[in-house]
Amino acid sequence: MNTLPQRIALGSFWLSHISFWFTLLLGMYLGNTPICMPYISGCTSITATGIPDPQSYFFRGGLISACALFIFWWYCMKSWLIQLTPEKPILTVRWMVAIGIFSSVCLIVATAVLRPEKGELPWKVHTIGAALFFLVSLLVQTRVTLYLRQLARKDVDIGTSLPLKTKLIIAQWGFLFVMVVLQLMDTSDDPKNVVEWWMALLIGLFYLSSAQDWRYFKLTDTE
Amino acid sequence: MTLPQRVALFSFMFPVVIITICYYLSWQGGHVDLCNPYITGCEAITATGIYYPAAYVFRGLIIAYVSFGLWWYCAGAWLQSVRGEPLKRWVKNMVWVGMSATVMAVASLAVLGENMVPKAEHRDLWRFHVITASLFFLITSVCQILMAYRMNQLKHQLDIKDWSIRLKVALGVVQLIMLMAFVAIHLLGLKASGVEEIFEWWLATFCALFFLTGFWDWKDFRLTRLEKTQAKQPSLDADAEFQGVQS
Repeated sequence: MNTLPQRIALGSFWLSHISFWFTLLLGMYLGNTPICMPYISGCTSITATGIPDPQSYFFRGGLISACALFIFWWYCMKSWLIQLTPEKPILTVRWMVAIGIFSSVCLIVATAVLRPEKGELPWKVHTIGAALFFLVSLLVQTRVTLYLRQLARKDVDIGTSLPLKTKLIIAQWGFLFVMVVLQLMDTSDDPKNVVEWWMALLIGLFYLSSAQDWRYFKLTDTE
Repeated sequence: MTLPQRVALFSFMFPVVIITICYYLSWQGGHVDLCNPYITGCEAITATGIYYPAAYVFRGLIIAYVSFGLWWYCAGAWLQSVRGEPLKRWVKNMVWVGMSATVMAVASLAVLGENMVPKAEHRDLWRFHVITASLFFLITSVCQILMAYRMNQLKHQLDIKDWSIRLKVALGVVQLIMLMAFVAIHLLGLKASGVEEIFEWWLATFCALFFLTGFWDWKDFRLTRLEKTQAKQPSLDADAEFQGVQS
């Protein structure tokens, strides 16, 4: 039986990614999306899968709910870090969590403004919201990983996910670098879409990775 | 303020703020009339979230629905903490069903937008919205009545005021009566203009008020272990923050 924080970590990843994958498959089935593997060919973006009806219903409902789980995930992270380091400055933890929650809110805004009429969609709001989500998530996840490394050096038991988290962060920075290069080269959308899909997967896996650390972490007494 | 109190307050305040903003935006766009829908039934809640840009804001309600689910989790943990033993099966089921009902609410909201206009051409979508929204209200009101019943059973152990339980019972029962009247009106063909809308506004208000009552019940209830530790050692948290500021 998983603990509540583990369930939140699992739910954060699976709800967001099942929403992505289901809308993608539904789009393919309905002919709104080409049949392809976007992680390799970049044939479609995440946004594009969530725009037409009826995919948008699942996309919207699933992803905004997942964002709410991301917010709870940050609350779990805060409780866990404070429990691990009661004598350390808690202000750092509070800031990390506040920024993590901000990134989730950005994604909520970016998702809420999607609509089937592409011409009337507020692209600026969507793009800024989505870009902020990716960028701020990367920054705050990097900060959390560095914080955990500091704790590990002081022999605090931080669980087993640190090597995985480090790899996920390095990969995300690599993809971000590629994205910047692609933007500067002004290439087609396909390679950018590949980066987008992978970045989303890596951010989701970061949330999921905490499930192994939280095996014995109980958020409430009633668990 | 404890975390469960914040959840209770958020579950009430957030929908109120969102719907008010949506009403204002829809009125500005000329899609709804400025009136008192509780009395005249001039507009449905749904109508405030159909047209853009109000529909974008309206989608934020999904966050409130997740908060409703968390409210039920708090309620289960609270009832369990009172007796210090596992919940009875039916109480556990009540919590789970209450949480699951929020999925209906999310589904009913996810389909809303200008894609549902004109109504005559999108009957299936409207039917889906009405069925899922009605199921949410029905299940939630039944769970709320059961919650009030359980609180009444435990009123000596819960150490809360009688009015809180009585208010909960009243809110739950009124919701159920309204739902039954709503169904009866439909079955008997007594549908009059604005009646559905009046029911909708009052039902949503009673449902949200029920969630709000947790605010007064949960003054001393700390959900997480972190909250409990901080309540026992408030100086520790303040010291740590002070160190953080200095560093």
